[in-house]
Amino acid sequence: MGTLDEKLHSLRAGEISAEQNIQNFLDKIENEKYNAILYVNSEALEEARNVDRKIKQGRAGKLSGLAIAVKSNINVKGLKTSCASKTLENYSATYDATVIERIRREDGIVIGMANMDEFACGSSGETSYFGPILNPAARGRIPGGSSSGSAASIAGGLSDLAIGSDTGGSIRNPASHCGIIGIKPTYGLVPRQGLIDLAMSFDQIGTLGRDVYSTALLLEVIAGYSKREAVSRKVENSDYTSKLTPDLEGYKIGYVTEFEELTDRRINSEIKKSLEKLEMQGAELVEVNLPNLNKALPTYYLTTFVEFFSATRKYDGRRYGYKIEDVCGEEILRRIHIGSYISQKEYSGKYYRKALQFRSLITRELLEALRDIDLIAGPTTPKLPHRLGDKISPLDMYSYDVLTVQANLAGIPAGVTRAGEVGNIPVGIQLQAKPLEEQKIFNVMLALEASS
Amino acid sequence: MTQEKIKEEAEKVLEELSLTLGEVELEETYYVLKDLNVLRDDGTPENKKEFRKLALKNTHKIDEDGYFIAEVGTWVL
Repeated sequence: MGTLDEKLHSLRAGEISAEQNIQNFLDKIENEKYNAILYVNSEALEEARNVDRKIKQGRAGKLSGLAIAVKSNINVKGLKTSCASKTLENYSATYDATVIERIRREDGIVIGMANMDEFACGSSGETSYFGPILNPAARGRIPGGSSSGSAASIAGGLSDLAIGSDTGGSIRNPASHCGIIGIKPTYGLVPRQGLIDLAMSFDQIGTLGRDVYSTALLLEVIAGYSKREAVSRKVENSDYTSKLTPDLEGYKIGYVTEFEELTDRRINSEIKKSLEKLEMQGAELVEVNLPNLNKALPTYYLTTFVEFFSATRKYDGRRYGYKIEDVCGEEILRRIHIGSYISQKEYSGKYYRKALQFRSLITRELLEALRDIDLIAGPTTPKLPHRLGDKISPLDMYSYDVLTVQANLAGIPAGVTRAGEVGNIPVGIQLQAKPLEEQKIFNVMLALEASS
Repeated sequence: MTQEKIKEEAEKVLEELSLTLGEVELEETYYVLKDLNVLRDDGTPENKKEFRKLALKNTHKIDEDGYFIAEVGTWVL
């Protein structure tokens, strides 16, 4: 399989048509075994023919007929945006999210809506109302979540690229388990308008792909200021692809000893090999510490429960859909119960406001650790993905996020690329940088890609 | 799993998570970005003709004039 850069050249040169490209994916989706795509865009072929006309006229955009899978919590006009929940199973989006408008403007084609954990509440891909998603890269194991279908569509060859959302690791965790690339951008870099909330102070839309170039290309298409977004950074242009370089001379990369203590030794061993590769390519490794790392997970979850409870109050079933509490899965109900409990006035100081104070502490600590270095590199998840269907406790499920939530608490960018594998199970290395320094993450990923 | 069991488990999760947090006296962070983009330019809203049609497709009931009918909330019955 060639890189997407090569495919884009072939598309623009007319060696393959956008229509052929889309038809190939539609055929694969029809016979797919991963339960990755819930709905196909019935207009995808017509849209591809339009792109072919634009290619012939020499005015096609950056994505020139590439097929994009979209997580089912991002509105795509006319398509079912169900959040993989019975609550919204019949809900068709009335408008395109800002990111979808931007993808269409650059001639990307939405191939279909990807399966996911219900309302993005999960780290395994097992909580969808439409059934679990399978991991194309590790048979019998969970694909990770919550952007499970987006990651599986890339790993299973069902789309060129995908977009997902990341609230506490929902892009990075499945990217790691499925052996692909994923990035959660800086908070406020990509407009969230049209994304159905899980926790609005953490949610970010990001990209997933098979190679660094295409993952960076899709991010540069969707990134940038939007006046329709309440929390938007004034960044007009993010031109990552033209500045991509694997040269790491002068890069200082931090490794966190506390990460190692929390993580399976087999994963640590793969991460160590990647760090050695980075060192060989010119980077300097520096030890850094995050003494309050163990506070990040409770801080994140206590905040998320409250924000999620608030976000779900509109699903009362009176105007559309079903009342959420009547039809949702166990994990959603658990989060609603906790969010409701914390939101009661008498408890707010004890849990929620305390969590907001710890958020300040963790943010400060992480930014301080990054002050004199370029990136922090480490594992993505503390353990290997469990077998699909194995019963684990809610707290064990939440602990998959222990290494990813800090980036959401602090709003910094974080990306994942394949480090290696343990017994045929992919392991991803996580790279975290200062706000708006996505370029450095892509460059380090490219260095690892070049060395593999 | 029954509603009661889920509720019980929820309380246990809440207790365990809050125990891990100790005490700290700091300012509260709601958003990492302080410059919220809450004001919009004045102007005429864009008229998207399809929007009404698509929105009405999602509703439970529509009256004879083409307006949707909201269900009565269970709390007022």
